[in-house]
Amino acid sequence: MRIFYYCYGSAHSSVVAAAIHLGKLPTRRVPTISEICSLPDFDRSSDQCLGMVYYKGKDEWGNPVYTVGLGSRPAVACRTLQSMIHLMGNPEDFRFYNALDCLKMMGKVGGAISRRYGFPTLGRPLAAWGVKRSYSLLVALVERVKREVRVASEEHSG
Amino acid sequence: MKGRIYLSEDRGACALIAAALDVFSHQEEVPGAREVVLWAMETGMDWSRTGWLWPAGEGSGGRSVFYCGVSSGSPIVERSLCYLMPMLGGSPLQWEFVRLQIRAPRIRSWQGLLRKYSRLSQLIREEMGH
Repeated sequence: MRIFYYCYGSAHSSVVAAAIHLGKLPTRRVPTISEICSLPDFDRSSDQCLGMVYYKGKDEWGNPVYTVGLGSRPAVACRTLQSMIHLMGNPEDFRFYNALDCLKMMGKVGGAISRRYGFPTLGRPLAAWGVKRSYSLLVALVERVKREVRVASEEHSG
Repeated sequence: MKGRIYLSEDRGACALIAAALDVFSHQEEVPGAREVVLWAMETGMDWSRTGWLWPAGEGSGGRSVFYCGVSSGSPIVERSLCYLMPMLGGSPLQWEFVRLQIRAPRIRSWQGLLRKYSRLSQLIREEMGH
């Protein structure tokens, strides 16, 4: 099963959600701004990279985890991807999760200052601070995803 | 499968018309508004499901034709589909993407399409170089 976390630009919320999923960030405490900023792919992608799918690693069940930035209408773009999967593959093998909805306003503002307006010195720590404030929501999303994946994996194997 | 996907940055009106013109290209006359609307209803097209890829049939060159309204950001959709296809056992090289410049975001119903079809089909034919 392939797991996709999507957001606007594959730079903040989806990157952090994938990092939580893969155990690169903790689930039992809120990470520091330094820990968030030290993720190699946090606040790095540009508008030219929108739509690119990034492989992040495999989870404990061997499922590949990806991030993708789907622009300002991510739900519509996600529907296009899902309809292509309906045409060519098995929808059960592809799971899409919206990480952007978990990010509170300050994280989005910080991300926009850094990536859209080109001021990472100011925007990156602000985005990381916004991620900290939204962290419980991101952990809740990943825990829900993992519950679904566990059930699906058990059904698949049993 | 070799396919062609028409993308328009609206609810799908312009992509639908472009796909219809492609599928009906074997006819000598350009299809009329009622003919296209009845045909589009048969493809299953639903105005409330923006972003869905609707199968249109076989177009010029024997390619399977699809159409899709994406609201905005059609290059992003195209790029993400190209990344997805190898995961589905396909190749982006087998697919042709036609991103339409013309858009009709106010058309959200069959009635709206009937009203504007004549003008839009003319503009789309011009954009496609017909």
